[in-house]
Amino acid sequence: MTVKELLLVILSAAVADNLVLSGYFGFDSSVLGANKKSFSLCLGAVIIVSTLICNLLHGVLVSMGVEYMEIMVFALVILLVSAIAVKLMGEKAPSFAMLTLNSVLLGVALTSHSMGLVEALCYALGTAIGFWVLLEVFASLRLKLNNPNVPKAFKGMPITVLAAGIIAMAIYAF
Amino acid sequence: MNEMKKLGSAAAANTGLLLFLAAVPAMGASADVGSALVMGICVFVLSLLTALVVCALRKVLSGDAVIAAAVIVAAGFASLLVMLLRAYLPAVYPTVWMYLAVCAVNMMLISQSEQGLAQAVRAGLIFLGAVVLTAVIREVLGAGSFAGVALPFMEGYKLSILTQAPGGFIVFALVMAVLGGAKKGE
Repeated sequence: MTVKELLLVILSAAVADNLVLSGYFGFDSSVLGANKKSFSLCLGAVIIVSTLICNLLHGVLVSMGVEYMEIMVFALVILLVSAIAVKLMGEKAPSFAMLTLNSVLLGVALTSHSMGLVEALCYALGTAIGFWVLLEVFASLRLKLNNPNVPKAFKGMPITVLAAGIIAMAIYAF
Repeated sequence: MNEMKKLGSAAAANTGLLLFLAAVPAMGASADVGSALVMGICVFVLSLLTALVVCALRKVLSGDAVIAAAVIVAAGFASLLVMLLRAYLPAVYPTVWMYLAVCAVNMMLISQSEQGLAQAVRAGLIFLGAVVLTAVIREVLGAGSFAGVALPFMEGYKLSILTQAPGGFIVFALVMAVLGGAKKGE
């Protein structure tokens, strides 16, 4: 792949084909973890590392004829990488549960398993950038949505999901 | 661990939050009623099986180890369900398999399985109801059909955006508000 094509993969994964807004992956965690600064940094690193390892392992699983094991193997890789990331970041680290129980990690690993290694790396990088931007958007959005004009039944999560729908509509225009 | 337990207890008492934690598979597999029904049943079964094993493991494991074990157990059962879908329901497999796979790391599934078997069953049933309701609204208003059968009176009134990703967010938000509000009597 040329450099231009790889840049397009990054841009596409970050904006047009954003996994959170076009595939919903990691949406719950992006809202719940929106107010934690260290979360996006740590998650970005875990996305890139776990995607690379899963991409390599996919080839091994296919060659061994046990491709059906990939969900379990990928989940195990994500657990291990998340645990290492939490250990390395020390006190600034987000909680292990918030990091591990993030569907964007498994989503990226599963959607990029058939890509080449460099393409998968760019895809993971683009997804991490897109996720970081969305975390910032949701963090400011939650402040704005926390006002008394919101109908009672919509207060909290429903209005956040509705707002995400409007953002998704804007992205959909790409 | 405490954070997950707190989230699990809060979700058990608040239907809106419970549905929010299950938003990924619910929105992902609700573009048509058939996929939603299959997804709902699969999540219910997955929730039940994971809770059964996690309840037994809770006696020998503690802290983050319970979460790690729950993820591995859920991933194992999810793999099994994905294989069954591929073999017996190939029509819905392409739309459902990835969302079923990511259920292995779903916050609703893991947090509710830690709350006990009864709560896991309750969460599974609420999910099933919510995902089917979302799918009915999305398919009828978005595609002008119900379970694949075209509705002639909807011809010309279709809102095709509802079958796309933004429609999933919008309809699911409405379902969350209705089900969450109904529980609170609002």
